[in-house]
Amino acid sequence: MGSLTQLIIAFVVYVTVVLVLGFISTRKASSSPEEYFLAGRALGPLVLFMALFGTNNTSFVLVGIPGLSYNLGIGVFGLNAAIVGLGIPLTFWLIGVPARALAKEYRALTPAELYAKRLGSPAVGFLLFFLFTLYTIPYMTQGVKSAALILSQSSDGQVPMWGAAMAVVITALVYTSLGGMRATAWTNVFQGLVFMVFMAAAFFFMSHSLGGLGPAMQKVKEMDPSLLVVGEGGLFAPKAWASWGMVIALTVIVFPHMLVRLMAAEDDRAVRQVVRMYPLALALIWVPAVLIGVWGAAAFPDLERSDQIFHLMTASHMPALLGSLGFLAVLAAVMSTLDAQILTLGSMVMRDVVEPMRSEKLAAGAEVWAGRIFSAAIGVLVFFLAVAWDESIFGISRKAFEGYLTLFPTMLLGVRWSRFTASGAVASLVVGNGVLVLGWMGHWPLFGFLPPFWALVMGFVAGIGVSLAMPTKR
Amino acid sequence: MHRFLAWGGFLLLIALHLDFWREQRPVLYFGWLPEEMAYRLVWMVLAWIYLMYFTRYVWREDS
Repeated sequence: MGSLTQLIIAFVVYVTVVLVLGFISTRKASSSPEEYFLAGRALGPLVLFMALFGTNNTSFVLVGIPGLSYNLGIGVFGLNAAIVGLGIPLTFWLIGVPARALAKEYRALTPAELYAKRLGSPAVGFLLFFLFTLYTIPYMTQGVKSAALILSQSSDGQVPMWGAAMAVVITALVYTSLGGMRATAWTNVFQGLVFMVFMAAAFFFMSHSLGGLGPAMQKVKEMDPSLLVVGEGGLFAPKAWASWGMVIALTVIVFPHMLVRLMAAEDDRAVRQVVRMYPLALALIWVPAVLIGVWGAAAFPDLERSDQIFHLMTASHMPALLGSLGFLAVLAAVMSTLDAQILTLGSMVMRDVVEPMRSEKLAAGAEVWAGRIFSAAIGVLVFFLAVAWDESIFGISRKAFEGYLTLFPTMLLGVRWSRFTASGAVASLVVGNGVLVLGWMGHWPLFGFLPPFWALVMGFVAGIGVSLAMPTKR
Repeated sequence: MHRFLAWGGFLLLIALHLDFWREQRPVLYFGWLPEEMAYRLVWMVLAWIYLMYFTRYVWREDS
C-alpha cells in the first residue's frame, strides 16, 4: 500500500471518528446556548481533564518543542515543562474555580461576559473580547499551519499546504458546529488519547531504533555535550528564565478556550481531580517531545528549519506504518485546541459583541446558529492566515503567550479581589499591553527581564492603583 | 497551618526551579538520563506531591 493511500485511509478514519462523536452530541447541543457553548456545565473529571489537556497541548508541544530542543538541547524541558506542571494546576484553582462559580451565578457563557457582568461594565467585556481575539487568532494560525505542514510533508508534497490547511479547518468546523462544547470535549478525549499514545510509542520505538536509550544519549554527548545541559544566554539567562517560567505557567488559564472549559466543569471536585492528574500527564508528553529534538540533533545535524525534526524522526525511526501516521498525532493535538478556539471565539462574537448591541434578545436556537456562523467566519480567516503567514511555530506561539499574559492581572483580581473595579480593569489591560508593545519595540527598560514580565508587573500596579484611587459601587 | 505550609512549599519549589547555583554537567545517570532532566523530573514529582497536599487540605479550607 502506498504512503499516500495509507495517509488518506488514516485521515478518513480519524475524520469519521470525530464526526461521529460530533454527531452524537448534536441533539443535546441544539437545545440551548448553555448546552451548546458549555455542555450544560456538566463535564465530569475525566472528560474535563482530557478536554483541558487536549486543548492545552497543541502543535507547540509536538512540533515546536522538538524544534526548539533540536537547537537548544535538554534545557528546554526545565525552561517549559517543569514549571507548567505546577503553575497551570495552581491557576486552575486560583482563577478557574472562582470563575466557574461566578459564571454559574451570572449565567455567563464566555470569559469576557463573566468579567463584564462581574464588574458591571460592557466596556470591560468589549476590551477583553478584543484582546482575547487579538492573541487567539495567531495561536490558531500556528496550529493550522503546523498541522498542514506535517500533513503536506507526510504526503511528500502531494497534498499542498493550502489543501491540508483547508481539510483541517473544515473538519474542525463541522464537528464543532454539530455538537458544540459537548462534541469538542468528547472528541478531545479521543484526540488526547491519540497523541498521548503516539508520543509514548515514539519514545519507545525511536530509542530502540537508535540502539537503545544509552547509545542514543551517548551519541548526543559525543556530538555536542552542550545539548545535555542548560545553555547560556537568551531564554537561559537567569532573569529571562524566570520571566519565561512566569509567562508559560500563568498564561494558560488566560486562554479563553481554557477558562471556558473550566466554566463547563460540573463541580469543584472535577477541577480538583484534574489538578491532581495534570503534572504527570504533562511529563508523559514533554519528555518524549524534548528527547525527539535532542536525538534529532545528532541524527539530522544542520537542518535549516528545525520544525521539520518531528516529521523526520517519526518517518525514519519508527516502523513504517506508525511513522507515516505521525501526522495523526499532530492533527489530533491541533484539532483538540482548534475546535475549542473556534467554539469560544464564535460564542464571544455572539455574546460579547452582538448581544450587548441588540435591544431584543435572540431566541435560543437563533443564538446557537449565529454562534455557528461566526465560528465559520473565524475558521475562514484562520485558513487564509495559515497559508500566508511565514514565521516559525515557536515564534508565533511566543508572541501570543506573551500577549495573553497581559490579561492575567484583570482575570485574577476580577474573581479574587472584591475591591477591583471596571476602571481598574481597563487601566490594567491598557497599561499592560502598552508596556508589552514598548518592550517588544525596545522602548521599555527591561533590566534583563522579558517584556511580559514588566507588562504583568505594570498591569497589576495599574489595576490595583486605579481601583483604590477610584472606588465605585458594584 | 496548612496555608502557611502551602506558601512555604510553593516558595521552596520556586527556589528549586530557579537553580542558577547548580553546576551544569553533561552527566548521564544510568547511562542514559541527563542530569538536567533527572533534576527536573524529581522537581516535577515534588510538585505533584505538593499539589496532592494542596488539593487535600488548602483547597478545602478555601472552599
